[in-house]
Amino acid sequence: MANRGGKGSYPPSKSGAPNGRQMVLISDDSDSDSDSDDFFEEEAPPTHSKSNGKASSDSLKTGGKASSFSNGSKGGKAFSAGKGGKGSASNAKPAMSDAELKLQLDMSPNSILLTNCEAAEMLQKIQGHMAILSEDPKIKIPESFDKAFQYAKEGNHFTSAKLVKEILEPLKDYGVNDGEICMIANIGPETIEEVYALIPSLKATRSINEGKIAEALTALANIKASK
Amino acid sequence: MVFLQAEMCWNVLISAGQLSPKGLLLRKSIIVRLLEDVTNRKASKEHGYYIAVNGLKEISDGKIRELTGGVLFPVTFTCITQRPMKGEIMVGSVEKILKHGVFLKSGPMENIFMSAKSMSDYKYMAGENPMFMKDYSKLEKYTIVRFKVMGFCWMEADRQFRLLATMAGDFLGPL
Repeated sequence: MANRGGKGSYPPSKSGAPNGRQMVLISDDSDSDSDSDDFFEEEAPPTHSKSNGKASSDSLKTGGKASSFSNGSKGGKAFSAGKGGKGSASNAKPAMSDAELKLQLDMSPNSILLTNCEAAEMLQKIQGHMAILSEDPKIKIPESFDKAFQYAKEGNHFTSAKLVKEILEPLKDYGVNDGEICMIANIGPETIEEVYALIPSLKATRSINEGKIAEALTALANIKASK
Repeated sequence: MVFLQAEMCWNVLISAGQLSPKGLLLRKSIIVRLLEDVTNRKASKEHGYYIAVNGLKEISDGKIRELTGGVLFPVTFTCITQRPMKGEIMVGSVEKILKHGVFLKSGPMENIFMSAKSMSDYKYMAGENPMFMKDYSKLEKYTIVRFKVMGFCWMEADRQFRLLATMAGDFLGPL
């Protein structure tokens, strides 16, 4: 039963008939519940995510693309079997849009992006002072500290944040922005295909950065922490 | 969720009883009060979850509040925060399994929902230990999953985020 006519489903993306190969990413607010509206109304107005005009239309076309929110992606490329979600063509329409969803950094002006390895090192230093701090009952530590520290440690694949930065910084000259560099460091990909599958925004500049990213991955493999 | 180091300027109110002519004690009071405020506020829509204050930049001149006698000090500090971003890849563990999807948790976030429709290859298996299964891969409680953030919203009442996740895509799914 493939009743996928955008019926109260979270990705309100599909309104195409099963036969028509058109995936129109329209805000389907008639039948989506308020929760899913909230998820997408919160979004910044549609951004730049269509900027890579690689309108390659393969078997799946993403026509229309009147996406008024988040999923401004275009997908439309043949996808390969991976670890998850590979589905057939008709089932894969939401999969394509989800997979092609690009990273949208929404940071306040006075913020600096930290990778998991940098955050883990900083939080480790604070953890070191915790014993002294906890002696004074007046000093309160945010309750998210422990969980975030655990998350940073588990998400840290490398032995040194400084080395990671040295390896990845040069990618900025090859069309890779800060957010994408942060993603590469956080994911700890093993293959170049994994990088492009998980960070689809890099595909636009693949011809420029593929070689450099491959080199960076090789260098990162040398400093990977054993777990 | 990505980590950020955000510079913020908050007003810290020191009550009259905590004011001290000795500079260092006053400074300690301000810092303790700042830490308390950060802990109480937990999170904000703009910066995400407050994890730890890691630097104090400046304590500006205080302003006396006439009625109470307390003093308001503008304090500029840096704080490590964690905030979700749309389109980012995260890793979380399964907390609850329902027919329509699963709830995940990751770091300080405990409200991450992944719809069954984004796991179209997986079938729901009810029972005492419900799970989603596909061939030899299964999603049950405490399974570690890599997913992508499709969207999120800020719940002002609870002061936390709710995330919508998907596993539809290459290299996503149970680890």
